[in-house]
Amino acid sequence: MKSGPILLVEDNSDDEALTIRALRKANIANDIRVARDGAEALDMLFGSDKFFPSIVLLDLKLPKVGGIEVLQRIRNEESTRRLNVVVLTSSDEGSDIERTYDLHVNSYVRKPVNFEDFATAVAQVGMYWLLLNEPPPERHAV
Amino acid sequence: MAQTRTMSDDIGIIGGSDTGGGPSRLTSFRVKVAAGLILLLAAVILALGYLTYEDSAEALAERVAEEITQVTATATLRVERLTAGLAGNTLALSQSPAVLNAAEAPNAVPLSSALRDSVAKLFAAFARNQPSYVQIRFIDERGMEVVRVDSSAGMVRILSPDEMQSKAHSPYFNAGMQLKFGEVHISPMTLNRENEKIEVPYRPMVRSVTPVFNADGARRGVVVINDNPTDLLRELSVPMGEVYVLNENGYFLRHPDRSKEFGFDLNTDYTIDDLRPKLAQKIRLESDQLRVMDTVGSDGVRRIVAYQKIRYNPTNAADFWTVLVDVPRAVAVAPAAALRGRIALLGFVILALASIIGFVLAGRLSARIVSLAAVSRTISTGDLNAQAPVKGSDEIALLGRAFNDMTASLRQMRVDRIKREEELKRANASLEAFSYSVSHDLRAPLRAVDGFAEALDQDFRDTLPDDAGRYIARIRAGARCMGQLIDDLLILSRVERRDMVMNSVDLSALAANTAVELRNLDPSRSIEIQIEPGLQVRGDEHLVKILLSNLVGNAWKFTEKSANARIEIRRVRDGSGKSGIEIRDNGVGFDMTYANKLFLPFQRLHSDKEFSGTGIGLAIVARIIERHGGWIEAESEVGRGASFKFDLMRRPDV
Repeated sequence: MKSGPILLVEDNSDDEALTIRALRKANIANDIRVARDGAEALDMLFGSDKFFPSIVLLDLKLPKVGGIEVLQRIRNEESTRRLNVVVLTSSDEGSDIERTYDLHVNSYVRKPVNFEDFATAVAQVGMYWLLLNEPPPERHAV
Repeated sequence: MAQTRTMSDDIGIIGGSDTGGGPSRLTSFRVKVAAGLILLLAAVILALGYLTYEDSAEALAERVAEEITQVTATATLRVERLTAGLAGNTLALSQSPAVLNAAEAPNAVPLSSALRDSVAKLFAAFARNQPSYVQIRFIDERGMEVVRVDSSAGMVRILSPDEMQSKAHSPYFNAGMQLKFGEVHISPMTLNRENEKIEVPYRPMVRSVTPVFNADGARRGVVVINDNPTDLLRELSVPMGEVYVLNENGYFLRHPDRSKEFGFDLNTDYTIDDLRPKLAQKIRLESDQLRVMDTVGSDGVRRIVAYQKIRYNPTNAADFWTVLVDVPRAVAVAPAAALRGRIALLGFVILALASIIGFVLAGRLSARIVSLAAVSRTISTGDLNAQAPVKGSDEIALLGRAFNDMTASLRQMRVDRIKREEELKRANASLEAFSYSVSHDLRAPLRAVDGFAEALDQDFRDTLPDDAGRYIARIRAGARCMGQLIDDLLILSRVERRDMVMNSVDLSALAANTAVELRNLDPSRSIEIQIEPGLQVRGDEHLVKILLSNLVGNAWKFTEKSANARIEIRRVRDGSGKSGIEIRDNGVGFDMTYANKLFLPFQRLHSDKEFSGTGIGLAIVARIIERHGGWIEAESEVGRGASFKFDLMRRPDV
């Protein structure tokens, strides 16, 4: 199991708790760091004590800076360009899906209302990206 | 090519259509107007010219007819005067004392020179007085010339006794000897003969003869005057035409071509019948009245002719001459033709002027129309501020004003339309924002409800009473139901908003996919799904997919409790030619009493206990059908399955 922390960008504390619960239930033990809005996420990724997460679980509808913009920044910065970003959102609006894929999102997962489905989805995302997928090499800005 | 229908298509006032007016067209219009004007003028001038010509020609012809009538009358009078004078003079000479004295001389004895001289002197005096008298003679009863005076070119000669000839066989002598006292015979006009030969140059001759009686009443001879009427004949003339004189047999006594005169003497046999056979016939049959006529001759030439007969011989009414005056009508009306020429010239000048003026005027007119067309083209490019020129008070100015009114109202319409479009855009945007936030914000709390209820159930199952477990299950069912409702509502709203892309859609393949998806969801179901291959419809593929997944999904759902569940998808045609796609199942069906509520949102015909559902599926179906302009109808009987028939095209009116 890859040991890097998971960055969960989620403003809704319920969803945060449920996501963490689902990941833990799926026996994913990685450290989970939570950003409660887009600005905080950017700070964690590009600020003074930045870190390189093994995966970013990104909600789209966020206070301050939206998820799309966060994704855009991640893809524009050399240091984070290859980060695995999975959009985890309630929206299944076509426009959101199109725009995130245009920004080379790695996956787009809709949060189901049904918790079992939700837990399954989160667990599958965690399993795939953390256990099966070979992560990109970490890069540091010069 | 894909056809995209949007709401903004409804308003399409300003089209970029080409008005098609090139400069060449305008030139032709200009030429057309000018040409029309010229043609009109030409017709007027032609008509005027023709009428004027006809009128004046008619007047001229009448005048010529009058003129030649007069000429004919005058000529007749002169000829009559000639013959009357001739007859009178012959008579006077026959009864003069000198001739009567000579008549008393004894028979068969040469006349005494005294008697002869007195007669000759008298005759010479007469001859001098009348230049046309070329011979005056006294011939005795035996036919022997006794006294003879010849006159030629003013020279009068008295012939000597040994120059006397016998005229015993001359017709005029014999005719004269038959006459009674006071009668005069005037001979036909012939060429003069000397010693039985025609004298050259030809001299036409008319002889007047009357008998001389002595005191006992015995005929002692005749007095004969030979008259050469050449001068008179030649004097007869008419401007523009010809004067002919004919004898009773139609021979010419006067003809402009002198070789055609005296055909009987010269053996040319040329007569009026050779010149004008029809007229010759007429002259022979007509009375002595003066005739004038406007006629087309045998030679096809139209002529004005006048003629009159002259009974010149007092002792033989069968002898006559005819004076004939002949003017070709064309010559007679030549002045009118000249007038016609002048009118034509004038007309040509007027036409040339009119062409120039017409061309210029039409040019101005067309220039104004061209500028209107330019304005119209500007407007068609979308610039509604273009103004048409409205100077003047004519029709084009009126058109210009109408144009400007039109652009003004177009401007207003555009403003209104833009306003409406903006309103629509705002409404759309708020609808989109609404559904976006529904998508996000309504789901999250539901997930929390469901998620924490589940957490409660999992983490505290052992400590919770049984009832609590059942309540948690109800909480979770409610949350899921509401989640489904939100999903369905979102689909409905997206169906509403979607930009449709019309294509030929393989309905059989889509239905098969739907069936596969349904089987994957519930592999335990035993159900037969029959899909007719090759079903094609024209529509938006995404919407057709949603449509099928709802209809086939319903069939799937309502056959859940049927033994030998079966779904059929096929094309059907009814008797009236109506064709559609049918999706038929043998499920529970529904009560047709409530069929009218079938396609309304949130209307369900089954309880949740029987079958789950939100009641939005068929509303979505109806909306998709509606957006395609198609039709759908449902048929069912409780317990015996349901049938949905639809088509995406307008139903033919039956």
